[in-house]
Amino acid sequence: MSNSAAKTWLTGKRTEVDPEEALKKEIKFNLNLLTKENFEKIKEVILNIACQREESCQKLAEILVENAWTQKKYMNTYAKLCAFLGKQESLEFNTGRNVRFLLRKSE
Amino acid sequence: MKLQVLKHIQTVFEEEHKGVEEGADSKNRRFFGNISFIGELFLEKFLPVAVVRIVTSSFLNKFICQYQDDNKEGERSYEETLEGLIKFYDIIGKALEEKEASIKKNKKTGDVVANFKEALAKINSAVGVENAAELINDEEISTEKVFKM
Repeated sequence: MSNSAAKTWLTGKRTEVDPEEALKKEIKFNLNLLTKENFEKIKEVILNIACQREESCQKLAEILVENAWTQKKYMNTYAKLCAFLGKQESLEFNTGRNVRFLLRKSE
Repeated sequence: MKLQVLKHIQTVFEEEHKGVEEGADSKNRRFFGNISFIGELFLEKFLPVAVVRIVTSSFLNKFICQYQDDNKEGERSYEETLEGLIKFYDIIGKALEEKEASIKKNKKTGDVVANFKEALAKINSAVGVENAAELINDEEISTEKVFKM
């Protein structure tokens, strides 16, 4: 067996998944599913992902805004999702720190 | 969540003002995308009117600066800023007008209530009635008097 073939086999066999990468994939997958028709259903799924921990909330915000910039057709749906998530009290992680960060930035 | 979203939008908006070097095409796409998204967020009541005012004033400032510079150098980079502003108002214009109208209406109602309170206070001080209970008691006394008569 050649050296490169063995390498390919090893990489293919790798079972460890980077949790951050998995989270990113899950968020992207659900955001790509999002349309006006299935908004009510998908928003709950996305809320569940965001509720998991602070990092997932940050990642969701990052991907959501980036998607909104590039996908003009779905911008309105993304804005609706933002408004929905913004109202959720369960997503207010460490708000004090974030407010200070924003204030410093705006100065 | 709201703060996270605001952080991203604000970063791009500030980058645009600081003139961060980037590919012109992707920069334009991000800039116009961000402006449209801010507009959509305002429509969804995610952002307050104050943000619209900040965006508008910074756009106008930038436009004036660019216009003066471009006139000296014979360029037309201000057109991009103007286009952004027009796009922004194309999205939010109607909703903003309605919001401003409702604010004015609320202010008027507030003024009427304030005037009414003022008028009541004047009557109170002129007639010397301290509260409504006294009026009621007076009425009761007068009706009793009538019955006795």
